[in-house]
Amino acid sequence: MNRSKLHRKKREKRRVRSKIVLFHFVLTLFFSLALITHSSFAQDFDFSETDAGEISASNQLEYSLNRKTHQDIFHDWFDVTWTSGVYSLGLRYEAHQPDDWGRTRQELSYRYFDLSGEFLRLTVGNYYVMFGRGLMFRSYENRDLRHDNNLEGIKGTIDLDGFDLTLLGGTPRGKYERVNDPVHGADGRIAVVDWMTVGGSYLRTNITDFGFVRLFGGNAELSFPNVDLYGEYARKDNPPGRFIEKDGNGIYLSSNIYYTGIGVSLEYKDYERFEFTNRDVTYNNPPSLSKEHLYTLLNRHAYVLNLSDEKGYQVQATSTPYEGLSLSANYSYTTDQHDKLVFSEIYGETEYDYRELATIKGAFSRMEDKTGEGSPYYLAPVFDLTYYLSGQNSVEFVLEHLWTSKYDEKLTYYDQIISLGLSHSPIVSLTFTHERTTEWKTRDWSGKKTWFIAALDLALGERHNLTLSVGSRRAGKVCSGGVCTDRPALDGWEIKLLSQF
Amino acid sequence: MRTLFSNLTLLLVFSLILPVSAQSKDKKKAAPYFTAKNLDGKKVELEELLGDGPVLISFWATWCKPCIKELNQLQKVYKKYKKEGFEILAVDVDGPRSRSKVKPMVKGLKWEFPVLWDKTKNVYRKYHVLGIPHTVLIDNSGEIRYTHTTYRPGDEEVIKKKIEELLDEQKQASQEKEGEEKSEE
Repeated sequence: MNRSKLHRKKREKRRVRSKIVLFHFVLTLFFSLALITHSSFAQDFDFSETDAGEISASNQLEYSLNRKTHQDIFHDWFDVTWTSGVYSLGLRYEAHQPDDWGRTRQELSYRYFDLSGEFLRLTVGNYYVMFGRGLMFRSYENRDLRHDNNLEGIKGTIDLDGFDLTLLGGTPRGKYERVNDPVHGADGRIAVVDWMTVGGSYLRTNITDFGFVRLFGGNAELSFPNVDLYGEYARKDNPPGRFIEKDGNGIYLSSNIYYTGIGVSLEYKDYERFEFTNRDVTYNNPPSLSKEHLYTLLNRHAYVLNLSDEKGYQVQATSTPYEGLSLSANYSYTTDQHDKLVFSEIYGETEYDYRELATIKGAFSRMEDKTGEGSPYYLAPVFDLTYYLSGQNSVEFVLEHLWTSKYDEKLTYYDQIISLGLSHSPIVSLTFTHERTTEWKTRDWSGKKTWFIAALDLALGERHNLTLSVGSRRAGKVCSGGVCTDRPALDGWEIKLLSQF
Repeated sequence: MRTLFSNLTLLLVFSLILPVSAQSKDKKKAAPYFTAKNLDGKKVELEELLGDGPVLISFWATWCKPCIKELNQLQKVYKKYKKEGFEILAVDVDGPRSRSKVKPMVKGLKWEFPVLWDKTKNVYRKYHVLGIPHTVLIDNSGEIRYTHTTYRPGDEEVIKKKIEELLDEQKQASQEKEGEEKSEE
């Protein structure tokens, strides 16, 4: 790179930095003026409450050691908060050795100063935020997914009865480092009448070597007795003359109908060229409209959201016809913009409490995934029985079975998990889990065919929770909200310690 | 390995120092106050609910199987102690994907206690929650008296005992107060 280019880049960086400083200064000035001049705002913060304050902290430690390769993986998150009256200060120290991308990392990933009143809140430092239902913007942390795209900058929120407004500016955290292209945005909502709220959002960022990307959108929420309706539309404007020729858009509609003992939700989505990314950071995380499972095998093939090209709907019903019996059903259907099926699932679940002696649960799912290799479809029954030996002692037996068919049923195999758990509330539980697959019959297979793991979960007082797992566990996807990550296999031992101070 | 040991040392130091500083015998841990909106969009303040009786905060989400199990049991506990001033706040931490399922689920499962939105997990972080279900029991003076993470069948029995203890304490305190007032008269 020649000197003039370097100089130009440096000058551009300086320009961006000075813009951030200016923006933060204006925002701070705005809130300072609002605080000082507006009497109700000034009264909002009762500074007289200030005392020595309260310190609270938590720590999450995860460590695993592979007995064959002797490779150890260590993760730790330590959060500490000091709160005194309207002020709070907090920080998070993170250490990963290595992280999911193979690097050793130790950093103060989250630090903030917060001033919170009844109606006003000002945060300087790191923060999380969501506009509407996440169509345009969502910064959040999910440790299971190793996801954290917190913003570093300033955020101000006014929250009055029937009106709220958020103004923000900051740089998002990426997988490897903070992305230095600042994001600026505003999100507001106003209650027009008792039963209707309307809102709007605006967001923009100047992506290095790409140009300005702007998003704007509106939403409306209507609440009637036993019926709620919500609709949101957002549009993404790309800079002209770039390889993405057309602008993108996203639509999300939802309706809830409920009555005592029964609730139904219907949702619709339509996302086209709507992926809002900068390097490895995805800014938006709209509803993916697929069932979120907690059983291991069902979750292993969860649908991954594609914001560039998809539309679809989801219907879910929950009912308690009488005490002790609950029923749930879900159907989701996703196609691309040309109406070609991408993913569909039908799911049903029944749970019955038998005279406080046992809880019996049966579930069934049929999934079809046209994006997977060989267009697989899956059939998965689940049986879950909890038997109460006494008030605090119980035994839980879970059977998960998953048939997989690929290439028009030319290739079929199954996976099965059997788990037995013994529990003494609230102190200890011991769970044995066995998994087997017949996938090895369908192709060359050098890996394991069975896995067995024992997990001891122990409450150490009220503030510490220790989980010790020994054995082998299969690698697989961990998914949440349409975002998935691959969890590595375990063949050794694993320790997880959650502490609150 | 060096990182592990340095972090374990850090953890140990904090395990020893923080409980001493933040939870000495004289000073119990105060529950962080918060305001959140309920399913009807109305603001609910923890501070306003305290005073009447113990408040139990349960952090949950629609996709969390043990959370649903726990809240189904807590509904029975709520019915039993509601008249004595006991309150439950079920703080929902669902993301945008499952948020629309919250209201139908609450109505479908006939939960009567207030359910609050925590869309950016502010309350969750204030209470240093590390996993759900997470339960916090607060006495009527605003002090945290019991916390618990995960759910095992029978946990509700422990919670019942704790609530009864707090209600007894509350009754005893009000009787003492009445006695003092009478003696002053």
